[in-house]
Amino acid sequence: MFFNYLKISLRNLLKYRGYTFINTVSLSLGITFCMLVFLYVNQEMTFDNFHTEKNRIHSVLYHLVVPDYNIDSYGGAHVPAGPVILGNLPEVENFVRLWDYRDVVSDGTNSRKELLTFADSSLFRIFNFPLLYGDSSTALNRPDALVITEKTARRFFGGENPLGRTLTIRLGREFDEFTITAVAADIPPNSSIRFDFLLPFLRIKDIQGNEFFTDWSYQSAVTYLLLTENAEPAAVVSKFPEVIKNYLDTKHYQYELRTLNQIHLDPNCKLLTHLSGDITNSYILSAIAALVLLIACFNFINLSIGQSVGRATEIGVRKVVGALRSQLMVQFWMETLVLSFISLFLGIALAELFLPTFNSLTARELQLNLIDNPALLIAGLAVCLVTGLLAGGYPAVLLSGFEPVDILRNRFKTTGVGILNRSLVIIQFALCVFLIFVTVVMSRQIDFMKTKELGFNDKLLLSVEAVNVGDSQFDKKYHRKVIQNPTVLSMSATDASFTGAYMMSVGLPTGRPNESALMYRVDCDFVKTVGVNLKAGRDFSEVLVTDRDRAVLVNEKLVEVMGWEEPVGPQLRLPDREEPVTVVGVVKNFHVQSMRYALEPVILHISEIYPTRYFYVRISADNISSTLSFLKDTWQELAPQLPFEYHFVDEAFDRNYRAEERWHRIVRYSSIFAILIACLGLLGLSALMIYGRIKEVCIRKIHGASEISITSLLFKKFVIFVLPACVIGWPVGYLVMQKWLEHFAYRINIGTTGFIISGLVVLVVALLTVSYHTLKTAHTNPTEILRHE
Amino acid sequence: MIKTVSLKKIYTTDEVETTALNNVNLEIREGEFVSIMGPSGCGKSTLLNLLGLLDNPSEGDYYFMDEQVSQYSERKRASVRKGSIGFVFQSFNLIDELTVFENVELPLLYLGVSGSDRKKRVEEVLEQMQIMARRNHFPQQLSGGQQQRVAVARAVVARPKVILADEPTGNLDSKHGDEVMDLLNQLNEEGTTIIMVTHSPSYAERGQRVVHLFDGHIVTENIKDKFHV
Repeated sequence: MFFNYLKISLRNLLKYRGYTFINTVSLSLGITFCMLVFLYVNQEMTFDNFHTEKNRIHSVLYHLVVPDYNIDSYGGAHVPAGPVILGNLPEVENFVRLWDYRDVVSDGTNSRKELLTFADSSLFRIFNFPLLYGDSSTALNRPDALVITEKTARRFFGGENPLGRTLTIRLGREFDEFTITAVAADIPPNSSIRFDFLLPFLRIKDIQGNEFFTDWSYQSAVTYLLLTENAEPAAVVSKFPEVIKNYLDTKHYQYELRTLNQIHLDPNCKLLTHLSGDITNSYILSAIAALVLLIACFNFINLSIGQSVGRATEIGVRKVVGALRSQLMVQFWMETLVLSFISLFLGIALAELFLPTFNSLTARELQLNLIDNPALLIAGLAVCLVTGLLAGGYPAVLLSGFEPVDILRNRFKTTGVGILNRSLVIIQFALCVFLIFVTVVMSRQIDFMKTKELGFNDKLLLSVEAVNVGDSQFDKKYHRKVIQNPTVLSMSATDASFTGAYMMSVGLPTGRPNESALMYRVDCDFVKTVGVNLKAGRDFSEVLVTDRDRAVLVNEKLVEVMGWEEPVGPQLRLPDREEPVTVVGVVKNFHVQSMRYALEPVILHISEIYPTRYFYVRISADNISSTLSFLKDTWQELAPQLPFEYHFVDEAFDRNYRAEERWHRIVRYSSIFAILIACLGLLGLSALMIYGRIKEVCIRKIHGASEISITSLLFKKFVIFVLPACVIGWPVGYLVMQKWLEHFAYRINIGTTGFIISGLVVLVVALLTVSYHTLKTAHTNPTEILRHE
Repeated sequence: MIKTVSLKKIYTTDEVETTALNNVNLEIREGEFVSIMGPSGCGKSTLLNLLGLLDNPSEGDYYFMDEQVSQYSERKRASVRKGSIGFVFQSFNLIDELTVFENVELPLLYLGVSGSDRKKRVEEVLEQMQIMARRNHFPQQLSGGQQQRVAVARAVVARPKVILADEPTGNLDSKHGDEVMDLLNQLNEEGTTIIMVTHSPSYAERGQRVVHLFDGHIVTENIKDKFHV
């Protein structure tokens, strides 16, 4: 029986080639999308699973409990906590601490700022990071030890074995030579712990001093504990207060443990050295994939029902000779399953084809490897089975329910295309309207954010990272030399970047809780260089000595928050100064962050005790490349060992919207997928619908209907799909986008553009799709058809 | 073998009620060859459908092999049908996607006959119908007469007690029509009960009894001397 089913399935698929093609292509596109999303979600869900001891490794987190403040999770733990816990709790077998820092790495010819990771030597005993060269038990023992990854080794030493070779690394102020003691295999993509350069933990002393290891005020060491085989994490945590009470106020500090493979997707757990994920992304992608697959399933149902007229005799005969309904259902399911298995193979091939695009969309390095990843194959088969059963379910139930006597009496009435078919097409197009609507609104919001006035002039403004932090002699020399070039219009030094790095927040005495301002340490040329507009009062003055310390500029927002009526003249207290400072001027509001965030009060203060971290350089539009070379050459003349790293501020601002742009691209691609699949379905359905009306068309033509009137008659049938689709798609899109826009402090009004574009696109695409069959039918010679009646 | 008592069939469509059969009393014995005649729309096919358990009557009783079957569910009707009744239709009703062999094999598949038995029985019946050479052809590759022979083969392969034939020669020329009638006569002589609807008086004469239907009633029954009880 099984082979009979299989045989007839294959013969039917071949007989109705057109529909088989449409079904296979649309189902495989749906499966492709699901597979890609599965790869993404699977990676998210299996983060850090490759460590053998994953269930025994726990990260130490702490909450700071202060009255009037919510409990916060911090990104690390107190530096001395690890050794203290190990020394006091027998349930703890080992610990490792990680600490990230960026500084210059040089191989003698090239130098660049790199991310350095400091780790205790127990790292390789706790985690599974296999070494290609070197001995994991001694790799981090020497004070000058350096472990690099395979990729880093290739970058610096080509294909050679780099053991024993050296790299020069600056820690704090001094360069020091480090010897490569081991090369680690490249970090798997699903590892939340990532490193390129691994240094002994104790070398942090070069940057922070020796007190870093004993002072409980340092709280930035990401600490993992390896518990003994049978230790209960909750029982271990309950002993923490006893252990740390000598060092911390246990009323304010609450410790907890989080198992390694739960950290990645925990929204409350953003460890400093840990790559954290967002479960929402998985949900959104899964929802989109499910929608696309649903559209493909609808095609299948639609076309099967449409085709059912052609299958009536077969069903009738089978029933007459004794087939039970259940047997027929199994047969129809078999056909769907055969088709969905074919689609699965095609889907895998397409997934391979689209994988690079998907990787660039999601910023991942996913790999499609069915042999190494049986879960993917199982998931593929499961999707295939579920799709087959779902898509085949309705046709199976419907077709097997035909009464044989109805078929034999020719009382078998089905036009092939009924209310259900129409409803499914409407739902498909509603999904398309929804996705296009979302795409349009997202693109408008991104455009809006990118083009909104920032309140300062971000064009031709360079930000140069002052890698020689703390060397004020260098800063002054560089400033002096650079400013002499006529294409450099102005230059200013600050202690924090516009895009958020090193920004400091200070509390404001408004009487309300959580009211704070961002503080920038700047110099006299800041306002001029950055192009901020002065609203009241005056700019900092080079000649007034009091401005060097005791004057501040504030923005309009700060004036508003403080409720000052006379904004120039009031005094403010800063946390690092005994004496108050005086507001000498007010600048217009300017954005220092993405439009996601509301404007914040800003204080600009000149203070020479803070090191320069960024130079902002305003250059002229002439000869930009030679100006850049000049800036670089001047830099290298003064500090040949240090890299010159710069970016344009406008580009940096655009990078703020990478996440939004990524989602915009994902939704755009999904819309294209969805429309493509829906069109394939409509193409098939239009053939069936028009075929069902061919006699009517012929009779109309005989009675004088023109081709134009026939075409418009047929078009009308399809246009009516679009209106209800819009009625469903628009409000859903509107609500979803309204919710999405709430994430942005500065946002567009949804307006009418999204409605018009989504409606028009779907209408035009639907008409183009059905025009082939419509025009063909309108041109039919009526005698050709009626001759057979 | 077959007995109907006051059989009635009413079709209702969109407020229009059509009485297709009214007060039909018919008894057919095992081994009989009964022809049913009458003008279009008189209820011939309806009667055949009821006798073939493809449909239930609206009123009246139907005894098939001494069993009251008039209100059986589709599932029960199917199970009675598949072993006991064979059908031959005017339009052959072969499945285009199956070969001659597979079409004939179909009833045995649903009866759960083993593969080797199926092969043997299908080949036997194909030999008997003289279409063995066409066993791997698809229906579209055969002439009308050949197609109807396949349909007859399919009807008899499960060795049913009764064969119901609805205008089996209606789509055939006279030569092929004669061939099919010869087959039916041969089967009847071998003991199979045959009930055949036909428009052709000469083919009707090949049966032992001709039942005339008019407007849903049996108007006459001609019993021929050929039939000896």
